[in-house]
Amino acid sequence: MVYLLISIVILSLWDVKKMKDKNQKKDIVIYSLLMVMVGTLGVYYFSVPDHDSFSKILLSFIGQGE
Amino acid sequence: MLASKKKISTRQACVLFLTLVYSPAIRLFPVFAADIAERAGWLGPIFAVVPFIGLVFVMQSLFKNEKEANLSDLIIKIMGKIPGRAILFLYLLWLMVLLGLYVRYYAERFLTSLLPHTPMAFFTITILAVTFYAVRGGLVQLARTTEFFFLLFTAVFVFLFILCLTSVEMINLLPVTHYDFWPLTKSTYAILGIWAYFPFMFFFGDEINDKEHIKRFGLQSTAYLVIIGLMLLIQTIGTYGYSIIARVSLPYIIVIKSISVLETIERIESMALAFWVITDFVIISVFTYMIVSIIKSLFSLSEKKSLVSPVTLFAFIFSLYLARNRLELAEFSKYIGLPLNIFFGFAIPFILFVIGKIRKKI
Repeated sequence: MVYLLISIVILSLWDVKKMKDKNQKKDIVIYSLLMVMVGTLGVYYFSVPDHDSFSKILLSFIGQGE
Repeated sequence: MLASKKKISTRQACVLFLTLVYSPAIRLFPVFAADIAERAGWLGPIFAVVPFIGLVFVMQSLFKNEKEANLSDLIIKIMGKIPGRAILFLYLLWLMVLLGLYVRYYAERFLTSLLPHTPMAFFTITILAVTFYAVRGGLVQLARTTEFFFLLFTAVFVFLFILCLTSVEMINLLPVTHYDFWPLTKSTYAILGIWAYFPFMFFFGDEINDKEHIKRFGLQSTAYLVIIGLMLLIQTIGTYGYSIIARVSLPYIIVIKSISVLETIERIESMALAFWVITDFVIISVFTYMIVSIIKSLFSLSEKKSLVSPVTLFAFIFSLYLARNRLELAEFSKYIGLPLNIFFGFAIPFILFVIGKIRKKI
């Protein structure tokens, strides 16, 4: 999880700097939102080891779970 | 002229489509065809042709008067701003799920066949790092690289098919009777679920030139898909029979493993695996590009390059979160993946076409 968060920070700094140079404010906002979502998913996945997988959740909706 | 240098042709877009279809086709077609249609399963691609030709004509009609648009623009134009963006959002979610799925399948193939004790993250990080670099380089470079690999892969595929022919037994393929008609129709479900990726190529349609040739290159692609599909199913079902092929994982690799030329040249499945890796790179890269194209259209952003970072990171995490094991992955593909592909790839474009004609938007 630490490596993932470090990757997110490094990539964000690199990309946001380029977008700032081009004055792309809207792009920065959407990019930041996407990175926050990705970070949240990553923290959830690595912090909660007993979670059900995405497939299991969807398959249970259609009665194909165990 | 200068603007068109940053675009690809419709022919190149079709080559991208044909290359990315290889990976899921090799994995899914033999198992589904053998399981549902049994001995007659090798005829499945012929039954799947008619709906796919219909789809090609639908795409031609959608872009007839919209040479510079992409599929996102058309969805918003035909359905209106809010319903259009809602549909686009659904496409975005589904394509992100598919991206995670294909990254996971890429890793699972190595874990199953060659390197079972290697951490999965090694495979996913490797392919996503290459994809990150390739997609940021742009569509034109990706398309040109894929054209080269497409020719090479076709040659290797045909070569391996010819080597397999000595192992094919006619009793595994014939007889085919009228009782096989309905099972064959049902077996097209897996084929159409993969061929449904054709409309998705047009999410970056604003970077595709000469869309008036969609019908021409689409029909040529249809012929190629049918021939390759037939070859794939003949060499798998024909070699080991439907009852074995329906039960094994990676039937194509198992068939290639059995090739032995004069008892001297053996173990050539590494050649097939190498090219399967390349097709996986293409499908993951193209899906990444589709996703960043949709995000750019959905939020009216100025450029796509920076969006590759969050999308590849998402693909990494989601590929791990998607399923606990191969069984869940296979169940997901069978009960959710393929039906939703047919919905998004066939049903929605057809609905767009009908509504577009009624509202006189196309």
